[in-house]
Amino acid sequence: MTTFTGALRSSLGKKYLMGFTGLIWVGFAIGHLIGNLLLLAGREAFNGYALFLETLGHGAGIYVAEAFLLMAIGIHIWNGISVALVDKSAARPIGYEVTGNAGGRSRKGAASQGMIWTGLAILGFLIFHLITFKFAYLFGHVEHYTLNGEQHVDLYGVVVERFSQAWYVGIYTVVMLLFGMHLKHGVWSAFQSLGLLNKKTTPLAVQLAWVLAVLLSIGFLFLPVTIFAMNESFATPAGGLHL
Amino acid sequence: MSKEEPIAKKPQGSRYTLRVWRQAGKDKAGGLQTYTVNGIIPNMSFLEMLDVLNEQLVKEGKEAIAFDSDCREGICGMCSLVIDGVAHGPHAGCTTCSVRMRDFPAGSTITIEPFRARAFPVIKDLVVDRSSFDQIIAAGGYVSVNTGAAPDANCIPVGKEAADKAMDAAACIGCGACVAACPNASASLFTAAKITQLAMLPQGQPERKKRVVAMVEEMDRLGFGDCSNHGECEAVCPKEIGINHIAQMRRDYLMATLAP
Repeated sequence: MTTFTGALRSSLGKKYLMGFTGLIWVGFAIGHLIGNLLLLAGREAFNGYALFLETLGHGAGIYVAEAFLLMAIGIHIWNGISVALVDKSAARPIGYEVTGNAGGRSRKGAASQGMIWTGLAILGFLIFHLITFKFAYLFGHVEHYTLNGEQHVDLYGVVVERFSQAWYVGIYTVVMLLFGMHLKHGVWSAFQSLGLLNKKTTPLAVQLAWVLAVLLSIGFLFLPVTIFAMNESFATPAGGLHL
Repeated sequence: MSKEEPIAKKPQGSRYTLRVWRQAGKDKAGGLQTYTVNGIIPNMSFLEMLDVLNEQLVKEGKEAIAFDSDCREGICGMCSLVIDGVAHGPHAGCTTCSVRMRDFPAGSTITIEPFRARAFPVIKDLVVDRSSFDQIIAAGGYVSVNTGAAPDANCIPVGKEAADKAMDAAACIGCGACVAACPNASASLFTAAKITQLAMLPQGQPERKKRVVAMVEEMDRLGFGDCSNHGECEAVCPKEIGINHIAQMRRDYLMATLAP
């Protein structure tokens, strides 16, 4: 009999880890989107939220959360590459001359077959996103504001300034559509990988995946596009969306 | 009525162009070769069409194309073939031998390849060695106690839903189309069906945990790929076995390793 840790290295174990870590990041994405909506409320609200996260648990909370997310994405990437690139080519060294789709009850398509590529695109984007927002102060001058005698990065200002550039908004648009594709297959697949689905619940999970894919990709798209289109409103000292 | 009534004319049949994988032996190089076959009527099965082609080849002094078949009525799981990129061809829920030529427009070109997976090496032309499936079964896909003669019906009660699910899984004929169709060459659907058919029944309970671990380990050892939940296996399965059995296998494996 194998042990649980041994089982995690099996082909099924890879699925448990992929599904579990994927769902952790879906949870994070939902929270992140809700937090981002404070951009609509204005400079003080958004910067206040950023400061709240940074000082949570005497400043330790964010590091714990980041370490957890980093570990989860590390496992997700490792297993993703193992499943979709290494094991896949090892299991079928000679491929088909003609490939087809059986249709019918198959869920094979661009989303399911492109998971590794949409995933790697999201990874690349994530690094770019962290460099240009969270760690922007390391790579160039950023504005600061003073609160209770302490200097803090004006993260709101950084976001609005970045989203006034068309190419930047363009990259976000493309990647968020790829992110939606990743979720369309990834969300229901995660539940299936964890062995949580049966004949009745599978269609529900597939619908949930569609809903989350649309909500999250359109939600994350909505902010850069709105800030770009209404930049005069967002760039005021108070900020936020004023129609 | 005249005495010389014309005899019904033999149907002319249609012509097809076939691109067939030819490979002389296990470790030999192979490739697609193009053939033209005539006189194919719509009611012929796909394998009968290949029989016609083989007769033609033999008459020309060429070597016939090797392909697997046995019952030719869709129940033995012997026939294989990937037809135009789809295992068992374009017709859902049936084996290659049950596919009829009316599914292919007359005059069209059809590409025929063997099932492809490292664990299914090509023996010759379109024949592959699927004995790795036997090895997965041998790892634990049975009840190892001697149960004697057949017991009286209903002396061991089995719930309707469990019986249905076990029957659905037991419909597996082990043809290997799930592996052939899977973009990752995973044997998850086959292994899951062979585990679930016993896991749902009282007779399968004593060895349930041992069985799932042993069979999954054997599947991995044989070099099948990892499942990515494409569901293509379910779509090509001649017995329409669902990926819900794969979820069942994952539950069982998780439980067996967490609480052995």
